Amino acid sequence: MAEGGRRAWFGEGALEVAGRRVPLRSGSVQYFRIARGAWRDALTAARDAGLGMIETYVPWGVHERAPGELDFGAARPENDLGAFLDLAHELGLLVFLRPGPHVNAELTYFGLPSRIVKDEACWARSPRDTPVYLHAPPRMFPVPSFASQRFQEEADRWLGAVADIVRSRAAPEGPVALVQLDNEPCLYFRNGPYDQDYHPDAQVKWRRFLRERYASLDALRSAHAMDYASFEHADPPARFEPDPSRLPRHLDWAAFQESLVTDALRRFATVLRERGLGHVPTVVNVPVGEGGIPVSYGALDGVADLVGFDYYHAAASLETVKRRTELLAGVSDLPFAPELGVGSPPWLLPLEHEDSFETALTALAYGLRGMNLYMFVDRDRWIGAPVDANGAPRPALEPWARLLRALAAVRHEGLTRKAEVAIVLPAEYRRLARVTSVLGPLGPQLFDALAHDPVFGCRMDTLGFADPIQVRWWEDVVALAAALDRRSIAYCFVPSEMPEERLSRYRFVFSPSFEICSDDRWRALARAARAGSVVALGPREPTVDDRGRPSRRALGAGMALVDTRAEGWADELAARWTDDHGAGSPFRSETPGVHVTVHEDARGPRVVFVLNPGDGPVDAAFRVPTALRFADALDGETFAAAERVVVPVRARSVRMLLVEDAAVETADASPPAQDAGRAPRARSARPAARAGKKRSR
Amino acid sequence: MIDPDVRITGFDARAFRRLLALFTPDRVETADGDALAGDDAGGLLFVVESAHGEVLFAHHSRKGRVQRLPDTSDPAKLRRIYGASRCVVVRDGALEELEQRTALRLSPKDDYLTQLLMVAHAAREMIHAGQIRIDPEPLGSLPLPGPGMLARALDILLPAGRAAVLCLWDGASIETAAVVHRGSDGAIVALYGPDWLEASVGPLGGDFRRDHRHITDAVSAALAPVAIGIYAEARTLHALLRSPDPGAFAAAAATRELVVHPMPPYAVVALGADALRSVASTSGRALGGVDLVTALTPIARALLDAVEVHTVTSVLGFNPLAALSGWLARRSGEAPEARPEEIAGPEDDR
Repeated sequence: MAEGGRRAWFGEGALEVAGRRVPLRSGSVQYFRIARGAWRDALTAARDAGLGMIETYVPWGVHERAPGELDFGAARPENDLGAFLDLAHELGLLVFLRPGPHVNAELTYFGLPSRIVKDEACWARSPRDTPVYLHAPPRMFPVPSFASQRFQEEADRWLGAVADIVRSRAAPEGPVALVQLDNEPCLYFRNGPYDQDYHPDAQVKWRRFLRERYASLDALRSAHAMDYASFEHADPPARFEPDPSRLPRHLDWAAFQESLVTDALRRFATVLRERGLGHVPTVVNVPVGEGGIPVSYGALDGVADLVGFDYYHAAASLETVKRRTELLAGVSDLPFAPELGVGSPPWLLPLEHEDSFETALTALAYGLRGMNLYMFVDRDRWIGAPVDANGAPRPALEPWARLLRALAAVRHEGLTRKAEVAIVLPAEYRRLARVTSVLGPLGPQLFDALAHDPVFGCRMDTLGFADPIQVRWWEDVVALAAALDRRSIAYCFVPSEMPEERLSRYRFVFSPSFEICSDDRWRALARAARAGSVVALGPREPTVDDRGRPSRRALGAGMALVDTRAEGWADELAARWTDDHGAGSPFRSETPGVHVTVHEDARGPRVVFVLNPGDGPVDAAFRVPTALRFADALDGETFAAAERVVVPVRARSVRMLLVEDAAVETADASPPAQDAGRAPRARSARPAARAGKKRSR
Repeated sequence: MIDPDVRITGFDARAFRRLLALFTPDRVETADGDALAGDDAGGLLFVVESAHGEVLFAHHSRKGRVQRLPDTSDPAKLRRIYGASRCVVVRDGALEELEQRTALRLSPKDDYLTQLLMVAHAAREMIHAGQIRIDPEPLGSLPLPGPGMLARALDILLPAGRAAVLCLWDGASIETAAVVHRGSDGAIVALYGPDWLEASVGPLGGDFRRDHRHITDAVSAALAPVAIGIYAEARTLHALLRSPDPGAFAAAAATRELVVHPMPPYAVVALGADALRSVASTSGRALGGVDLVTALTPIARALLDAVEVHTVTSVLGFNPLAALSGWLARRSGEAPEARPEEIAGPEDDR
């Protein structure tokens, strides 16, 4: 929760504005890239499609005409941010504003002014003091340092100028209801563990970080196995040292990089608050490849009011979308996609309509409650928006509008998906995976994004432990997730640095456990056990903390050790939870590889998603707890059954089924006409209105 | 060469994917039904070793993580053992070193192609220093041009203040298109797609052999005089780009399967050279190996001199189209990679 406890702005999956619940469903319209004469049509198209909110970046580099000289419409009509916000307000639209300072948006230099990019004092630094270039077209550029005092001061001035425009236009009097802090928090996609940041200002912060963490020089020396003469002599590591005694030094470096990002965001938030936007909730958007970036979800949660994930995925990667949303649901009470890619930039692989649409449905299936369709209106350097730059609809608009109508009709934002299991992602193991990556600037974010594996590039040596922990922890996580899927047991991934009480929400908790364990993680596991959660961890009891200090912990009541080295351990654990504790959804998939998720409100199940990530179409069968009738939210096809439903699902796609009534008469669930005369397929599927119908999306 | 404010617009996802597909390897179906592409056809083996040769990381793109890898001193041997089409062995820290070397040369003011060349030069240095070992080395036989050479080559292909049109059809409708506009200062300022083209051109008849003149005129009026326009069925150009056959382009132009309009002098020469190669290839076989190309070289040289055309090949030191077709053909499993001498031939500007 953001400092100050401002989460009251969100309730039941929606934003609350002047007592009104507003679902977080928006579309991106970049005022500075479309002709001013097209603004009204573009915004009207968004409203007509069912969006109550639009989103835009405010790019520093576009508004800055000369050093210190900002144009908000005097020189270029399209730069008139105030007029754009006023028009949105006139049309009854709220605005989700993203003023950077980093915006990307496929703008040259990621939307930063060229003078900032060329200012050496702003540059992040490699261990050899070289600048750190991002290879993004149409110009590679040296990325700024989050620690650079010069950069921070310049960014403060920029954000202050935006706040001056926006202050009088903030909700509820005005349209601006949500503000994003910076963009895709990481080290400007140069996230190799020893890529950056060795800027002089960063080195000062590093030493301050160590002082706060260790307090005494002796404690620091002991932890780092380094004979520092003073804190001022504690240089940051320039590359990984495979010496077990030095591991805490590298884990500290990884934690420090996380703090660099978080501290910068905190400063941006402070500027906005001090310049009069303190009553507008804030959001941060975590980029794709989150397993390889230096972020602490717990810290992000403390800086912003909402932590969201961006989604850019092909339909062939629905399992990845699933996994990411299961993490987002473990991080955020209102899972939100600040960028759900509808189309793609020209320098990435093009995403077609089906890719974006099935990604959205998959994320919704696993708990996404809000999304910003990025881009909704076309613009330069974008391919695949559903509305052209003049506000005219393209064929892809209709399915999106249909989906938005369906979400509104079922009040999707207020539904919940109950996850029974928390799979803990230990912060110290994630950091270990980052620092042991041998792919340098290529990883680990890139390979998490490409191979969907945050430990892809890790070295394989054991570093003095029994196993290569940096890889094994993830293998255990993946194994258990697969076993839970096989038994239709819903789960979330919960980063260990989230607030301690979070784990207690779940009936079952699993944490990978090797020799290293931070005090914080152990405390959270013990607390969950005391609160009644069934806690399993393994394969080993920890023996040292993340500072290298011996630390033997006894398993308390409700905690059990699992030998994850044994074959089939994950299935055995899932079976035990099912058999002994009744875990598992009554909506159980009977088709291997097919997933079924259920979303409920106080009346019971309202929406069921059926996901087929496979390469071929399937007749997906799943159990239902009582007689139910379903209607596909998008094509209207209906199904009814007493105990077992069969739903045809195309390859790599998702069906969103609305539960029409709580129950139907048993007679309604009788076999379909074509089955007359056969032995009744008791309680089997009945596609009620399939004949001759094509799915039109 | 590429303007920092370059515009890219007028594509939908499908048209853009089709455009990219021309220049990317086709998917190859293996015997067991796997669909593989590019390097994955035989797999890429990627190894990171310590300074002492200890394997820190090994991954095969088809087989996953590789345990207990033998001696890494010979990437060619590793490639054979693991059935990979390419093996890359990187010394631990070399990727960071590559980035740092590159950063010392780069400037944010430089054009993107210049920046890419800087990266390529740094990478080649690392390869020569043995920090990165690749077998087979991609484009190993190609000289790396300097930014000036690249700019001169671009001047030949698309002079400043002119536009180039690529318009590909599927029957009576445009399947994909690209219009490149080079500004008067020599920088590429825009890449427009089929939406822009159709909005600028208006209704078409549906036959590229007739419509091409109208398109060329409309683009010239809307944007800049067209230096070269290429019109064909998409599948025709797709095949031509992968064809190892000498003379394929010339034959397609002769039968109007490929329309080049307007046709700049370098295209006349390139198609002529292509035809010449075809004649040489055919007659060489028919004449029992008599080398007609050698015999005709003085004539070709005279032709080149007569029209005062400098070829892209002579500027760059290699034939980019031959390199591309060789690469595409090999990755698409259609033909072996072109021999270095075919790519680098000084007069071979097809």
